[in-house]
Amino acid sequence: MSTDKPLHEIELVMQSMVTKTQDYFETEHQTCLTDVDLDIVGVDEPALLDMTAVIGFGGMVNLWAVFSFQTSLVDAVYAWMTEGFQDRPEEVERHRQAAIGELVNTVLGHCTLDFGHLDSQAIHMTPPVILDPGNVFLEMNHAVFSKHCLNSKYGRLNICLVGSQEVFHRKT
Amino acid sequence: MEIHALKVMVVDDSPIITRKICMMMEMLGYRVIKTAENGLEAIAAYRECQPDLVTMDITMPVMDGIEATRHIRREFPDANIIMVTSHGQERMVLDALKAGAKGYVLKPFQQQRLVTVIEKACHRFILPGMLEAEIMQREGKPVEVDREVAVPLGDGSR
Repeated sequence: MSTDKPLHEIELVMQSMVTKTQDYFETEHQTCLTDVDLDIVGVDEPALLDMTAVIGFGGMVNLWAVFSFQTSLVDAVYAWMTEGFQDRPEEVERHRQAAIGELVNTVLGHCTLDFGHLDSQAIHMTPPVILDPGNVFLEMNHAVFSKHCLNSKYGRLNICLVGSQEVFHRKT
Repeated sequence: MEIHALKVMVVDDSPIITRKICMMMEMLGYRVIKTAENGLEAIAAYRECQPDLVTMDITMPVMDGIEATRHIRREFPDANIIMVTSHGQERMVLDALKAGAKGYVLKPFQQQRLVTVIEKACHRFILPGMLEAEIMQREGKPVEVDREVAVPLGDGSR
């Protein structure tokens, strides 16, 4: 398990997440994501919005991807992903969360094509977890964050990359 | 004998994907007789209902789809399992095929991609077995049904 990762690898993973997210929205939903603000390191909080999905990359990659959505964008994703469904009221929130989890899972699956060479084995991903908005998901002392902010006409999406302090520490 | 009579089990931790696959199956006239949210549930559900076809996610909590496929195929060597997973997870698809899966569909999938893989699986793997069972039942003796070589079925989406 890597605990000491060159910055260019972190940039590669981050850039892949941004590009593949933009590709996904453009291809699947004809929606442009723009206004990308980049902070490779030094961001000291994960910038969580209204609904947040987290997926871990295992093995040598050993990083957590955090995708956080504004409610208006969640509404749009839910509508796209459940087209043709007739959700009962009690199913709506579960399916809103599942829609976000599925979107992030699909995007990150595509991402592994970009950095598969970082691990000689297949890059394993955890199932998506939707964060409880009332919870702090990491001890801040043990994590630093790389962040992008993407805007669409439906709302904003923040993408953060999280690892232990050690993972990010080495300068190359 | 019609492939539309097929009994299908859908295994996925995402209720949205499960619902989508069920809707597609029902639209095609297949019968979804069971759903499961993880690999462990899938093994128990398979024993209970022994479907003709399983669609299986790979990344799931508790037990992943590769492990579940391995277990099911060990216990039921004729099980017909098709993996449903994301682009980029092809190395895991390969592991799943080695574990006994007979095909795969990559997400995000259109209905036609799923239908193509399922119908190929039906004609190549499932119908010969069903026909064999029907003849055996009618004639009371084992028969040799010439099956095609079991080449894994991809969705042709790439």
